[in-house]
Amino acid sequence: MKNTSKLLFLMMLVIATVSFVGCSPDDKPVVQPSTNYEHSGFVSTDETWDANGIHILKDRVIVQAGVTLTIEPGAIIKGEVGIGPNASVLIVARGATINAEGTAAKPIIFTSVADEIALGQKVGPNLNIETDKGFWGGVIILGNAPVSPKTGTTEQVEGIPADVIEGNYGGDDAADNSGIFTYVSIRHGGTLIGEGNEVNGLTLGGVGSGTTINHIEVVGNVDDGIECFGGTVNIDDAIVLYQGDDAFDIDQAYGGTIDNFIYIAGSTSDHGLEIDGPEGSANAVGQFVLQNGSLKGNSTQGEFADFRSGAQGSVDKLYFFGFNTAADMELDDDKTSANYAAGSFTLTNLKFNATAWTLDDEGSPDGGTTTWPMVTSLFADKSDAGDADAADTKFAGDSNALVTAKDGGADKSEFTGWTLADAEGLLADF
Amino acid sequence: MIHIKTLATLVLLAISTVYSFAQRGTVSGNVVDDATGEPLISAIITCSTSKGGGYSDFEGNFMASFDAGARDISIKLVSYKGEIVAAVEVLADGNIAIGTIRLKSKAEEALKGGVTIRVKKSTTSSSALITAQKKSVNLMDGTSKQAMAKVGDGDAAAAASRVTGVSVDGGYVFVRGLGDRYTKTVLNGMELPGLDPDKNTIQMDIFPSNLIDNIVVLKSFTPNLAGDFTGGWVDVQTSDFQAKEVFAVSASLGYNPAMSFNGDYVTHNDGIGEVFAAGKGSRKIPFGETKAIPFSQYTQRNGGAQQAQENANAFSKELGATQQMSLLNTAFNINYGNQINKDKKTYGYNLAAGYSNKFNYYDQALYQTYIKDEDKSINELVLSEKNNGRLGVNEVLWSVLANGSYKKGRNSWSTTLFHTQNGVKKTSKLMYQNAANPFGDAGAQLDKSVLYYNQRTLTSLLVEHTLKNDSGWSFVAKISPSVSSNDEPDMRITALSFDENEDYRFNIGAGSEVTRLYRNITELNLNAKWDAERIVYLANKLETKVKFGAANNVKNRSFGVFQYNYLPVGNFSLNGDPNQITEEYLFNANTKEGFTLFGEPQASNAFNATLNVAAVYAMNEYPLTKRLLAIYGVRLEKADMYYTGENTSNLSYSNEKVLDELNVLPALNLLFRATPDINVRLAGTRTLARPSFKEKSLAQILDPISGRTFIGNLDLQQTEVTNLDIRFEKFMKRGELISVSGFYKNFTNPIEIVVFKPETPTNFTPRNALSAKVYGAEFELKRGLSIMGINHFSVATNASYIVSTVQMTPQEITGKTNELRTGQTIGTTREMQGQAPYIINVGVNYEKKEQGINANLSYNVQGPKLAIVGIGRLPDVYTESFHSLNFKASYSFMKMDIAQLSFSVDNILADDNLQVYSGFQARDQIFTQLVPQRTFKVGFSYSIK
Repeated sequence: MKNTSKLLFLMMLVIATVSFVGCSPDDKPVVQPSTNYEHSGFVSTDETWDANGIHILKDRVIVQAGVTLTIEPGAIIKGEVGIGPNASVLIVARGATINAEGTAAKPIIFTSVADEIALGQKVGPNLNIETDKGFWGGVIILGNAPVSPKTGTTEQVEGIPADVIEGNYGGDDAADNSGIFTYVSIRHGGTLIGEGNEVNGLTLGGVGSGTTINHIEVVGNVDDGIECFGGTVNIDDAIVLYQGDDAFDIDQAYGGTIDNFIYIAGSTSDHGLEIDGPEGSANAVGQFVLQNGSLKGNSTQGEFADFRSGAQGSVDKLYFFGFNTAADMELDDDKTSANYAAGSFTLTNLKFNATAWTLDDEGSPDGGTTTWPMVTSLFADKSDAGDADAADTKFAGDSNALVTAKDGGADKSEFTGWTLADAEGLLADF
Repeated sequence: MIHIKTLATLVLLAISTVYSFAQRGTVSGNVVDDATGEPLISAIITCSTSKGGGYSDFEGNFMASFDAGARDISIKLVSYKGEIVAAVEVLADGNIAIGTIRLKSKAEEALKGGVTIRVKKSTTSSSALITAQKKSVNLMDGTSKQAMAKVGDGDAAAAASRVTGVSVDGGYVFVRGLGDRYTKTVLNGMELPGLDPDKNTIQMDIFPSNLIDNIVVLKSFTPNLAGDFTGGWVDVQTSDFQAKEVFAVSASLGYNPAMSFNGDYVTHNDGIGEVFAAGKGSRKIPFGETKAIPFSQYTQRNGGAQQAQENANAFSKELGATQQMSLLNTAFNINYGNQINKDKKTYGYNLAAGYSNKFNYYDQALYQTYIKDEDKSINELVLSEKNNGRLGVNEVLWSVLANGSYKKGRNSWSTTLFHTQNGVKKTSKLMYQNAANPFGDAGAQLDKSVLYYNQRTLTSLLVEHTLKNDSGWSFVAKISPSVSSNDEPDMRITALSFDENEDYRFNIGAGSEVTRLYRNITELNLNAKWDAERIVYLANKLETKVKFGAANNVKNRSFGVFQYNYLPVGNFSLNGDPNQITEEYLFNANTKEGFTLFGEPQASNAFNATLNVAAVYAMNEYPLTKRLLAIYGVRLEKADMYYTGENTSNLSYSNEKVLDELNVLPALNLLFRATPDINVRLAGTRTLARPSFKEKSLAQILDPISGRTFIGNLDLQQTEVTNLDIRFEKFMKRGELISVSGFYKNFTNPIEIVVFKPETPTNFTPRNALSAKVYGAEFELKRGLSIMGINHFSVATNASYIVSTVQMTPQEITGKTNELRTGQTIGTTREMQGQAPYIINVGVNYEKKEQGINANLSYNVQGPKLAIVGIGRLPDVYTESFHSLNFKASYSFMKMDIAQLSFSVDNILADDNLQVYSGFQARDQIFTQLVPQRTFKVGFSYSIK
């Protein structure tokens, strides 16, 4: 009974708060929940973080191997502002389980203590979606799936001292299961964790295919949105917006599939995609799949994608729009070019919306019928080893084209109703 | 202007002092051991019918002042039979030389001619140190003030590198290839606090050579010395007062065609404090204390934005380098000392001060990172990162020394106060290119400005009391408190990414940053010692010395790092001038946009630790035969170390005892005096090396300057070392010798700083390797060339050959094995870090004393040294040999050579400072390259003795 009344009271509070916020934009105080739960250091026994109060990450919180952390739908987790060793991050160590199963109605929100968002809200009242970032760390999930680091078969997360074994990832279990991570929105993070090293929104290191990851939103992170270091996990329905570096970053021979994703560039964003190949000789076989994505660029800066260090995998059915004229699809090194020529790296069915561009004398797209040779001007094979003409021909021949209207891309319905991007009306173009 | 006034005052003072001696005259001479002909120090020169007197100095010379008239001059020295030179006519305002006085040893006297006495003709060349070397019970080498002046070395680090078996790297002394962990630097025999967060010891370049009398290097342990040295005990002995009044001033100007008056020289913030090596004051954190400023501050209600704007504005706006013409190198020194004899009391004092200001400019400074190729069949190293550009360095060093002594009867008191302060300002403007770095953004280009200032100070006080009684006992009590600090305030790094269109951006992914760093280390040291010694005559009339004593040394170190960063809120188009960020685009409370400052204290990047070492010892010098002396004894050391700090996993220690050791350190030295001029020495000793404060701790310290994380190791064991030494020495005419030595050292649990594990190449930790060995040979020759018919020329040369092997840790072996090239194999051992395989010094001196001419050509080279131990894809880095060839000529003139002009050229070969990556069957690639060029220097000095 007591719980029920408490719940009712909270619901009332939430309703009151939402309506309150709705009519007063900025300066009125928001009703804060009565209870805050503080978390710090190691989580060494199973824990549940409920949606009855705000959870505060005081600093580095690590779920240790063998331990399950359950986060209930609707939970709000706020990171303290801190840099370097004080950076507030949630690390799910190799062998630990995260059970964060949000819903479209009750997403789980990770944000900063500076965000005055209250329980039951999906939108905070005070922070700027584009400029306010770097206020806390991010979420790091580590697993036992194969990775291809510079040496050996395991790697330490940057910024975590080498003697903290929970910072280690990688192994030989491709089907490793780190748990469930769904309907999660990660906002305003990306603080410095080490020297010149910012935390990504969601870092996945050696996470195996047994793990369920879908419906993920990363908003305004200083560094990358989602970065996969090796591993085999599949990610469905991911949206990254306004990050400071790259939206989707792939390293160490990640071998999973990222399907149905959206990217919205901010004024300081770099690449939509930044894809690297294996770093070492071990586990160098993993090939990524990126498919069904819609990427919206920035009109003054930022690039479509950069493929480097022997990138291997396939990019299929993407729709790019809103990018600046100088943006390119870049093959950065000889190995990547060789992979492209050999077919272990493919670019197919990529559509680039050219309506906003001023084109050079070589011609302009006439209603989307002439796609050759213009689309190759976006394609930059920077290697001096490969045959650039052959690569161009291949690129143009693989159904990659300039278009003047939406052509394929992501299914935005997966992002409506629960994301900050949707609440801010940013999905209208997709 | 201040300098000129002070100088003038001192000159006047000195002249008036000289005139106050008007009714008196001086008696000069030289005191030597009758048996050996070697100079005798501290002989007392007195006269029963006149006030005044003097002491013989290190070279046996004295100049004593008495009332004019006929005087009987008495010359006395403990354990020698006194002499009286009768009816010396002391001339008012004049000097009378009474020549060489030979004192007979009481022990020799007792022997009644048991040893053939061969009186040697004394010469004028420097020999005091060699005499000390000959008599020492330890294996000893060193360099004297006279030698330093001839060669022209400006600081103790340069001077020490002339000593046999000594190499210097970055101001740190390596003796017999063993670095700071195994080599101890002391000041006047007393321990000093450290100045480097990564090391136990102090950099030698902080001691200016003009305040030093001698640098003595003891290479074998005796129980009266602290037990934690293995390579060498390097004793910097500061200037003592002389037996006569001395006043000296000198000044020099240095010109380097590439660096002086160069309009391209880069610098920053010329605060007035920098002229006095005190630039820290203008670089303090404006809030006084380290204060947490969250990046999100501007979003807070109730004036958060206003606060953010104020905080960002509180700091200096200067982030970029300024171009300004460099000046000449300058140096000034002044020294005044005297001795006063009054009613059987003797007072002596010495005041000295020195100042130097140097400019270095490198227009092509180069710093690179190379890695091994991903493909193991490719041997050539791959360029990963490249920084090149301009580097301006301004270095100011000043020191003062005051010492006073008082002697009455059997008691003597002495006190020495020494302060030295060094300020180094480095300004660099570099272009950074990321070529193929798997750790960062390939192809990125950054325009990087680094403003750096480092202030180091050391203040040390020494109070000493000696009591000698008639029954042969002597007691020496010494106490020395000292404090050192090393500050790196407000290091500013601004890195902006740019492309070929000169389009500058703040791009996080490409490595853009705006950072301000503060790092401090402060160490307090209190060293107290009490030694007792008694000379006893055995039944066979040989002399035996019994020594015992106690010592305690406590040192406390505190360390902290603090960092602020700027991040942009909003998007800004930049023009490449770092100051634009602070002047135009600093956070604005109205727009809530701009570069925002944030930072906070990090408990894991600070610590405070204390080490206490208490010791007692007993030893005996026992003549087994007339010629064979055994020096044996034992030292007991109790060491306790306490640590206060916390790590990043919230584990904290508060004054936790991390080290508790009791060690017994035995020593046996045998000295066989084959002839009066030939010594054969053998030594077998046990010594140890303790881990430094942060090594035996739970530290996880991120050093923002190197970007490396240091991880402490609570399981670390202290190192125990067995040392075996053999040496043959032949002493010829004064100042001449030839010696050959061999040594062997075996280490148990040697501590090596290694990468924590292969996948974390920037995380370092100390680990005990299984074992290590160091062995080698040394040769030294100091000889006049007149025997070859070449007059006025002499050579001073030494050469050392050192081999070291250390057993690598399993982590290191794995890390290396993972990246072996095709066909490459590795063993389980490697050489020790920082150890030079050979060291060669050659000096040729030309001296024509009667014409006041001295010329010296000196050459120094150290073999390539392993600077950074490679692991994974990072190759080893070696410091290449620097062929240092210097020339100095001086001309002394005016009455009694009171004035001297000198001219010198440093780095005649214009060699460059080079560190290279070394790979398997691969071309060496540059890690750092700085080209110092040649420096020409003229100097003038004026001294009244």
